[in-house]
Amino acid sequence: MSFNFKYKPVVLKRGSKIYRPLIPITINGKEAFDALAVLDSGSDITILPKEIAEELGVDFKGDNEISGIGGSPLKAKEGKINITFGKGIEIYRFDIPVLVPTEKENLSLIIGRLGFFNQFRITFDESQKRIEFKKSPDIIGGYLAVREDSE
Amino acid sequence: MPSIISNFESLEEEDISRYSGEWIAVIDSKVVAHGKSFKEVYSFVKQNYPGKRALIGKLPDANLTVLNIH
Repeated sequence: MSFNFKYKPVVLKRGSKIYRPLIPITINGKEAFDALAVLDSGSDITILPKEIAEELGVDFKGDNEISGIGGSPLKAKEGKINITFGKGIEIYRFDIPVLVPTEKENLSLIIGRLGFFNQFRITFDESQKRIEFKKSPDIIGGYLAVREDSE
Repeated sequence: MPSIISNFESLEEEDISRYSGEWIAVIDSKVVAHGKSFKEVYSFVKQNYPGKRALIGKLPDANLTVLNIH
């Protein structure tokens, strides 16, 4: 079984349009929060914007630093979130570790590799502009769940 | 179809590239709010669409880069 999500268009500063791999996830905090996230195989870990962490009451602590290519390091704290992710009859619920940058706001939610990429075999299909997810059969943790839709 | 999926897939029909670098909120398959800050968009949704599930996120812009733990 597998499911996929199509890339979404984004305009770069110089005006050209590219397609980026965005995915929908639900963060199960004090209330369910549906979030649009960037799936980034180049990021070691998920980056959760401080604004969302605070709104959902996510506990975060410790001292870490994150950086991008050519960017200054940002101070960040560690935390953990429980997410629901999937499509159709394949809905999975599992925990992922996150880093919460504490000194910079207005960042995108970035889903990095740790705790997420090992749940699935993930194919970035550039020709079709879509990401395909196939549940890894040998994964420990993560389980099929029913998505709660509160409307 | 759960609202999160229909909200997400509606972004294929709507030209969201105009919101690059902004926070957006999608309810019932429509972008109902966009802005420069999470709090601005989230507060608008809470105030104007109480009880509705919204898909909220910041669209990446040209500044997005690869992140690594130090």
